[in-house]
Amino acid sequence: MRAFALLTLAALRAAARSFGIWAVALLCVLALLFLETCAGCSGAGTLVLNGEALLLGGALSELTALVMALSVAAMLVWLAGMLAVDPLRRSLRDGSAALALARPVSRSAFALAQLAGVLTVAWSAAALLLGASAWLLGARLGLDLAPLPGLGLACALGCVVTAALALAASTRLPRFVTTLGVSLLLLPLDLLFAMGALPPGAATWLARLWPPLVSSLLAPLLHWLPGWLPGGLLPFGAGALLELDPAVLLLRLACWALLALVLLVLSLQTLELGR
Amino acid sequence: MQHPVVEAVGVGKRYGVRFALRDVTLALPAGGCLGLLGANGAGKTTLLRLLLGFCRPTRGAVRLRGADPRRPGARRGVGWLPEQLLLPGRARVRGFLRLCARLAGCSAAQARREADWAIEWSGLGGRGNERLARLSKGLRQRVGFAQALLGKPQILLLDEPTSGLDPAGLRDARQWIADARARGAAVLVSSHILSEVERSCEQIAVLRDGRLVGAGDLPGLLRDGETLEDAYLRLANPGRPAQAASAGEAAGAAGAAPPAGEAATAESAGEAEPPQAAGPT
Repeated sequence: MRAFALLTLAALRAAARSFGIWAVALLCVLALLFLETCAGCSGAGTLVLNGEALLLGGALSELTALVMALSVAAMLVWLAGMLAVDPLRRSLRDGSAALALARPVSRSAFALAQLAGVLTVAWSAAALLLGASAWLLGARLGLDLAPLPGLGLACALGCVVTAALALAASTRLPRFVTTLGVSLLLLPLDLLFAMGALPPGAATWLARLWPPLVSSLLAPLLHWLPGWLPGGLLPFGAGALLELDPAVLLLRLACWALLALVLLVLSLQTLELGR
Repeated sequence: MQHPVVEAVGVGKRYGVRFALRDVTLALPAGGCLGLLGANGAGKTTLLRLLLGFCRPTRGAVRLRGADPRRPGARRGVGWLPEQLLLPGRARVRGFLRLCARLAGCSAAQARREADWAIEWSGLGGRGNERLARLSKGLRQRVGFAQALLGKPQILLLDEPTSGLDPAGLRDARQWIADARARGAAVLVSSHILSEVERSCEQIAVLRDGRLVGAGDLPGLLRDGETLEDAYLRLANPGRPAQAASAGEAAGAAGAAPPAGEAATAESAGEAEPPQAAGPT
């Protein structure tokens, strides 16, 4: 436990010295500007449905809030993966991993400390941005904030999954492959699955096994979907999302988080150091 | 007979189809110093990596104080100086040494004292706040020694310890190894600098193509009139003695009869069975 705490602190110090922390700070500022702008719109508008014009009043604000919260939370989950691409790979390359592991330090403690360092940064950004979202949505748009705890939990678990998988992959794969895997596979595929945009068959099976990184963020936010909007109007087959149980998705995500932790520990346990 | 603190028993290590080590048996008692010699690629660093638990032997077993080095507890009291000393360049000397001391088991206050003291004795005084990336190779090697000796380890594994050191650094390194031995530490030195090995170690083990081809105390390893260099070339580089002899470099190296019973060696001409152990077991 002591080694874990020491190495977590060292990982945080290394993160503070890295370029990644500035990228996180910049993304946070941009996200706050985005939130501030979006929360400023009235949400009033007109929707033409089957040739009839519907005056929406402020109902669009709920859709705006949904898109806003989803994009910020998904960005945070992606960010956790991006932050995790480098630390373990770098410490294996710069020799600090070998020097630490020549001491009475277990490989599990070392791997989990790297993860803890990444998650501290990612969760701090999440707390800042989701807190700001909650305040803006509640104070400016007067929205019911009930979906936010579910969103926060899904976001936190999603960060664990992407960060742990990226760390595990970074021990074996080149940097750009890990980056592409996080950016083009982990999140986008789940979004496509959730939207029903992939052909049935093998893809459906894969969708059931894939980490529900986006759908678990989306499920609690569907609470904000205006009651008059029928599921059939959603793009692709996204109407199916309305039938998803957020609790089941969270459970699946928690299982994936556990699996990702095991994969991370195993990836370092089985690695031959110093070759 | 002292129980060995560092032990390799019939160790083999294979990478793909290539054996980096074959059936190596070594033992090092507390307070002993073993010099590990061999040409590049002979398997010296692989043996050290096995002793640190960095990889698993394909055959045989390695033990530190009787325990498997892959268990973190077995590495308590072990200091290691790697051959290719890569340091986290963005860290500062003092902070890095403090972290190493904490990981070695020191309390926070002890780690502060140990790091400050290590900066002094290793000749890094005044550079405690410098980033490791800014240090010269020789100074980085001093940091390497400092981190290896933090917490007063009882087992020291040194891989090319004098690499990059100037003459004053060489003398300091010799002194640091002697100090460690004086307090009872077992030292295993892998090096190409034979004169340094000769000065520091009383036991020698020679690896060739992953096999132990010579092991024992230094006088026992040498034939009549041989220097350590001659013996090394005879054992580690079998093609070399004839050339050396013709050039008058290695008098008595080729064709000399080994003195019976002084040291266990496997002759280069044939694939004789390797010796079973180096040092008292």
